[in-house]
Amino acid sequence: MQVMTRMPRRYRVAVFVAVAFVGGIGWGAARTAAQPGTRVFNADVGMLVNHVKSGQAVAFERTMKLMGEALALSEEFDRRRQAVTWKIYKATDPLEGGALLYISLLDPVVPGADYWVPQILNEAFPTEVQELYDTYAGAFDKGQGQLLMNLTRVDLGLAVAEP
Amino acid sequence: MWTMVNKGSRRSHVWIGVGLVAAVAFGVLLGSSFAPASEAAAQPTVNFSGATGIVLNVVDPTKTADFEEVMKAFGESLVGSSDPQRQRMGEGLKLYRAAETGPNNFALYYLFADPAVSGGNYAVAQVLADEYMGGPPGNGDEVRAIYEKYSAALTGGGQQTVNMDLMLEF
Repeated sequence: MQVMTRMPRRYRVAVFVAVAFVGGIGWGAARTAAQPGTRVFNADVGMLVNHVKSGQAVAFERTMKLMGEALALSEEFDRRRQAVTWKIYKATDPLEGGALLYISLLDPVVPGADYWVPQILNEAFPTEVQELYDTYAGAFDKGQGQLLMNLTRVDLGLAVAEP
Repeated sequence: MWTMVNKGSRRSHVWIGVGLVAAVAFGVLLGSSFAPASEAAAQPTVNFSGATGIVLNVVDPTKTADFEEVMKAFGESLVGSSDPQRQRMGEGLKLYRAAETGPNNFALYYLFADPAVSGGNYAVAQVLADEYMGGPPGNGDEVRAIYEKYSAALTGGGQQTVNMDLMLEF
């Protein structure tokens, strides 16, 4: 800190910008499954856009299947409700650079429910959760990871009248 | 020695930088998820090879009402069609608007065709030309007007299709 104090102001500003840049990169890279935290949606519909490393499809899909079992078998009613409306899609073609695109659509979301996969796994498989977490977190493409989107349905007026 | 004011100022600089980088990263991430936006508004054919199709629409934030009007016309044209294939296309259609915005504050809309109808042409302009307001030859002016809204809403943004398969539902 004393070194910083002796620096001319313009150099200090440059250091701050560099720190911000590196911090930003770090922050961006941390937007992955490895980032501990919650995945709570504040809209009626949620979407998780997952970028998975090429070669990690089997590991990712296996983990997601286990997560589905954990939800479906949960004693908590809201956890079971989460399973009912959770669909996972996989892009038929890899993205540029080889990453695989998986999209989770939660329509509707369970209000206030946490969709963070490691937490769901922890509730059902507490003794295996570290290994499952490592597999899950390691499957994500570095620097892209996971993106959370809050969605609202747009009424297209397509409702079919009841017979 | 730094004062608390200096430390606070430094923090605010850092967070401004982080915010800027994060905003750029968000845009890049969105863009890279769905590949570069295309000028799909004018595409005569939009087919899906997967069981589910997603179209990401990046829409001018001042023209979201126009875009939604066009999409309603698109959906109604499909379900109101005398062609059974187009009726099925309409039945599987869902449109979502994201609370999060894309680059330049553009609105993000995700159109899901689930299931996508194999061989069905989801090109909005083509469906409107064929079906809107009773179809040709009497709908020329209406189709031109609504197409202009559609095209203007996507100007500066664009559209990208992604073919998906349902991997898992519980």
